[in-house]
Amino acid sequence: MHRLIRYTERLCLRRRSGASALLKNANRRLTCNITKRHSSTEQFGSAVLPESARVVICGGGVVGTSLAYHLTLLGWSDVVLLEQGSLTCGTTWHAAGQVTRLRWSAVETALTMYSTELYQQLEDEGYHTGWKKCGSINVARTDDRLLAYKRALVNAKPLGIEGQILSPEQVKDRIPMLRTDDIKGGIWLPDDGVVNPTDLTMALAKKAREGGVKIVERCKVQRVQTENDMVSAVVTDQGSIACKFFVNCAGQWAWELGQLCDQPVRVPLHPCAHFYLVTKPFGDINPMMPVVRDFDGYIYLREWGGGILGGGFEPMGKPVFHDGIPPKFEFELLNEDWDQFQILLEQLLHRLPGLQAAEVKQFVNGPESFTPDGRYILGHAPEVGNYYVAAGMNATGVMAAGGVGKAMAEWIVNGETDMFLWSQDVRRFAELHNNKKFLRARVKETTGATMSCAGPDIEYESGRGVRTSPLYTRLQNSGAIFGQIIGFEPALYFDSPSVLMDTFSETRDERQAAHSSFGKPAWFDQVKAEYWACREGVCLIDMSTFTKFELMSAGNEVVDFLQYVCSNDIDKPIGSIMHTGMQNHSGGFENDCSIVRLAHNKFFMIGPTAQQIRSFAWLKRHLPKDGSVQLNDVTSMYTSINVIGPKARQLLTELTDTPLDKNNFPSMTYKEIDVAQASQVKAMRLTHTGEDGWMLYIPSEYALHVYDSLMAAGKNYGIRNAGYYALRALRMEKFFAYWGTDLTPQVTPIECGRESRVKFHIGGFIGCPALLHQRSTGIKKRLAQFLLEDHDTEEDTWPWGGEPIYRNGKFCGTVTSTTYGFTLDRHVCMGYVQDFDEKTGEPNIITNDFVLRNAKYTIDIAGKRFSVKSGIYPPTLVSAAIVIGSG
Amino acid sequence: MALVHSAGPLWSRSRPALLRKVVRHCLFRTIITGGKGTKLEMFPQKLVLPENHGYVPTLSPREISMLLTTNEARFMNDGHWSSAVQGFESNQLASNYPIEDRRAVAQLTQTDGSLFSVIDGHGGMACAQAVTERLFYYVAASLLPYQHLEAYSHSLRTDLPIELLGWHKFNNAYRRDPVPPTYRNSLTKFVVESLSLSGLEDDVDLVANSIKSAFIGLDSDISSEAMPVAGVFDVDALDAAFSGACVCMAHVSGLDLHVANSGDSRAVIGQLNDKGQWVAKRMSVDQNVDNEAEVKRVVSSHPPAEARHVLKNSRLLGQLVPLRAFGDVRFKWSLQELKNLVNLLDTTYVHSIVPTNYYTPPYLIATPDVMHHRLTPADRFLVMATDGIWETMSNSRVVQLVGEYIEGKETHDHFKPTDSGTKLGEINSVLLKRKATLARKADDHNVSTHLIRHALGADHGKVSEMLTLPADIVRYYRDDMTIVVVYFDSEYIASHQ
Repeated sequence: MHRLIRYTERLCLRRRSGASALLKNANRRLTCNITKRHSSTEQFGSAVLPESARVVICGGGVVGTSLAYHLTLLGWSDVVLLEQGSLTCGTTWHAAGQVTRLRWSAVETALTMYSTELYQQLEDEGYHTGWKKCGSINVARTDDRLLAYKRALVNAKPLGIEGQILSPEQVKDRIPMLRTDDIKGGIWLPDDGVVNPTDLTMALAKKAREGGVKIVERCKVQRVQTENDMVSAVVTDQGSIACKFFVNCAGQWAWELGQLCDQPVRVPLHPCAHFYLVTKPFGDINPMMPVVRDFDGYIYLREWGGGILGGGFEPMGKPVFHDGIPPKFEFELLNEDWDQFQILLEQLLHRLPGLQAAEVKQFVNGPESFTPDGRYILGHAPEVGNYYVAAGMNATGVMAAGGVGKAMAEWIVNGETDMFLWSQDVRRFAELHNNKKFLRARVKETTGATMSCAGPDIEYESGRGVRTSPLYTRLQNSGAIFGQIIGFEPALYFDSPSVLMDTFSETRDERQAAHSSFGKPAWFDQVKAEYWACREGVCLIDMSTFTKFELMSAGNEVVDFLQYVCSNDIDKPIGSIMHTGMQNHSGGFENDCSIVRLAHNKFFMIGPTAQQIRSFAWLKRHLPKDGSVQLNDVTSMYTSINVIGPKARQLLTELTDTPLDKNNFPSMTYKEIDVAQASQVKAMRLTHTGEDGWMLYIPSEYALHVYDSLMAAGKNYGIRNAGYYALRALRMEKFFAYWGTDLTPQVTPIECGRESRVKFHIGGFIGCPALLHQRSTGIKKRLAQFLLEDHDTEEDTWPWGGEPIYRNGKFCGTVTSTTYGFTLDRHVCMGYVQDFDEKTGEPNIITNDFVLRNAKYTIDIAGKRFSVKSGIYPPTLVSAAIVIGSG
Repeated sequence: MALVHSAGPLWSRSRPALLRKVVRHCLFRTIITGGKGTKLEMFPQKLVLPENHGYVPTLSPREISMLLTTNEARFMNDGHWSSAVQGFESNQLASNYPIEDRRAVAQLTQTDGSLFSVIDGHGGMACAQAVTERLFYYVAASLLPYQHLEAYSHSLRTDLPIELLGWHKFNNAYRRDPVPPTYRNSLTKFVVESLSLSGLEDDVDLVANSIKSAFIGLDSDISSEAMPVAGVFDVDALDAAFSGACVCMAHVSGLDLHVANSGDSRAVIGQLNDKGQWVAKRMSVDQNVDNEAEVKRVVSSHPPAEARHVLKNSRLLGQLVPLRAFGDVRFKWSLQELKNLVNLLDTTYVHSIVPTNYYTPPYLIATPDVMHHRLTPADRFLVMATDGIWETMSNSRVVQLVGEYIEGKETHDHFKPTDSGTKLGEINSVLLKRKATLARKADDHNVSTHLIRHALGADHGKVSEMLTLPADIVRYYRDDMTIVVVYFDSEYIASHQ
């Protein structure tokens, strides 16, 4: 990510063109309509399909061309871009062309920031992109929304974002025709702007051609051929082309293109109608009028040819093309649907009353692809070795294309990215996400989610209850509130029965209404009770969502294989449980998991829920080619119950004949035991939290019996259910880092204090050389735990991750994960500490002393700085009895 | 079928077994000779399993739509002829097998008038069938001015009589072929009588009186055709006369709407008032014991001694629910006439044919009450339906459903600003109006189907249950349903006021 920032900074220095050029641009558009431009064929002539290429990109929209261009920047010129029609003809040509730097997440902000700089640069170099740096104003109708803006701005500031919170009056000053009497304020982003998407794509294509890329138009992919799980050639209606890499940039066609591969590739997206209108010129609209976004009204507005271009994303979108996209859908629009548009029109008229008298010049209803979670689909497809995807832009393709093209090019060329792009990674999806019925139901919601500010724990309502644990209905009856990870639904917490029964007590929404979306959450008291039950009594946590693999071989092959992919020594006695990372070649965490040795040649692997597809692909890719090691995903076979708490042993003793004392069943060991009348339960003495207890992996047909028996016997122990929020609090307080937030492919075990879990004495594992090098040269970031000092839990905005950390007033890193620590009675955050060089911006080598000595840390939460206490070792947690006694 | 309310199937109670056989026989003949319209297969009885299977199938949405839409009919004027009538939609759902309800729609060739009718047969379908085929000729003839009537009278004696009616052909209708010669003979007689009475009528409402005389004329012909002559009787005529039919008929000409009602079918106008609300205006009063005036009429036309027998158990002579009807000569003929017939058939059934306490016939008439209404632009449609519908829904509910259906239908088409100069504010207000009605968009493409669906039940499960009732009990739960909805052209009405 920081390489990217440096790059953008360089760009910032280079440009600053005069305002006259901008005005010239604006005038040029006075006559322009949303319409197709000259096809590039007329300008350049389409290339002939070569016999082979290093990279074949399918899709000639803004994303595909940007990727082609960025590949040339990295020195790869043997690139062929295939377009079934002509460039931009799919959905790029009807994009509204707004480009903002500030997005809700830091990753997307970094991508779009790079885009703005790139577009400016292209324009400066004389490539017409229609770039107009008019800035933008996002207005807020509620305090909550304003807080969301502030938070996003504060979190993005270290990236170099310029922005300013405006009062309603200041908004009015900047855009007098805007209605401002109902807003709480706004945010002014001076570096935002607009482009002409067609011009931009043509500019990128021209750049790519100059770099050697061949663009073949009117060339439709019919099949993507694979050999040994690798793309070998692409069959088109113009013939076949062999390639080393294939990239699916097919936009709304990407789902279908994924199916055309011999080994089908999941690209979960579904087109939805997206509407905007362009008015005839009216009033005296300043060509440099900032783009206006009114998220609470789901709308955006920009100047266009002397009139207004206004559109938006209605709360419930309208999926289209469920049965396939019609052939030859080139420069085509969908039928007008004013009834669907009304909700947006109403808001446009509300925000800009002057529009009442404006006349329509053009009504545009073009399809845009949306994904199950409103994030992009990028990266390396898990199904096929050299198949990459960059699609699912959720109607923000134009602003994302620059950054996405750059990141994807690095991904393809280096095999890894500098940025942690997991939130946009194609491997976060399971097969259910690619189900068209699921997609159709879900994208209705994601369309609207484009405009929602997404509080910390907002869950989708559609596509729920699809993938659940066998205990789902039991937990539901106990008041479980479920989340969704890779489609699987764990209980996050339990709304206590008294709350559910008593009609006079507040509902969840009412409880939440007392605080802002980013403040103390409605579940606080429930999770607190669950937490203490885990620490003082006994709880059951259904952890069936966790990824479970079985690995075995006839001889010793599986041991050799695991020693190769794991950084910890797994060649331990039968019955041992090993925590280990799986590192990539840079030593970063590809995965973080627990490995159980069931037999000398058989292992059981437990990984994070979200890792199911990703880690399977990683392991499969590294399996011995001779097929001697067998890898099975058994996630769906077992129901996992965490029996957690100091009373877990007493309880479990009632239900099993196996001795459970520390001598017979030590911590971090495994035994197959009977529980109640069920057999073959895999019991492991670990809880993933540091508390005592057992993880029971129960063949699913015994799950209800085991759960009910534990609950019945547990009655005298005060047993109760607990959810993942309590789990997180328990874990984080003890400084257990977690893959996906704290541990990433960009982080090594040395940087997060897990050096002791690396088998340097044995070596021979992936990433070992990189780690050895780092051990000798030193680390540039260090994971630390931060305890919020002067934070008012009731009143202050909570940290939720992404907040900047300042060391002695200087930015040093970002919060990766947060929780409220109920024993410590304050917020616990994790984050990396870095030392950015004053001159170069590069991170310097740091020591523990840098982290711990002479360092005063603060964390900026939505504009308010809180001092924090830092540590790099797990804190000693006083027992609850004392806390209770003293409190 | 009119008798369902409290007592169950009519023909098991009020008809002798032999006549039932006769009717069945005739009916079969009719169906077999009926040609095109017989449609026996349209009532898929196999969907109904015997009760002892313990399993009642749930019909799929598609099966239900198939069952409900089979008898749909629709005709839109679309400017073909100048009339206050914009068109009509109609549908039927059978409970009896085959259905005893009938419907008829025709345009008058000699005037701008059009006729609509729903006919609810009971005790079989023969009377309803005869009325369907014959009534409109009687009405059309009696509406003719003297000269035209004369010309028509002449033409009846030729091979090519003037065609007074342009019939709408329903896909499930059948006609007797060849038409019995008695039909034409009786009509000719009726026309001649009308000619002789012409000019004698009270001019207060010529149309109403003409319709009345047509009803009376046809009923008397049905009755007399069935009388055995010299010991010989016509089975078909007998069948028509011994079964019965309630008739509700509308005549629209210019801005004048007449509704003639004989029995317990009903007609209701749907009006859209100034406040945009749908209001029901009743155009007929059911002639049953709930109708005080009708009760008074029936009781007062017989000696006081009979008062407690005439209407017993809410029925005429303890048997018949509607107090007016075509046919049903068991309540019209003299005792002697009935006995003569019984002798001809089989003496043992005499008591079942002749109602008890049968002293001063006729007890039943077919004379309709005719209501007149001058159409205004507020009048949007007329719903005519047999009592199968009205048993389940009130007038205002029906009008509400049809009204909202029309509003929903207006939004079936995609909105597109017609004029490029339309202001965005104006577009928004149009869209807002559409929004209110979009929610009401019904799935059915015919408003009558929409009504039938609502009459059957609120949800899919209920509708399925009502459609899968076993044949032997279905009539206890739902009656035959026939609906004709006539749409009025409010622009035409406004410009002709």
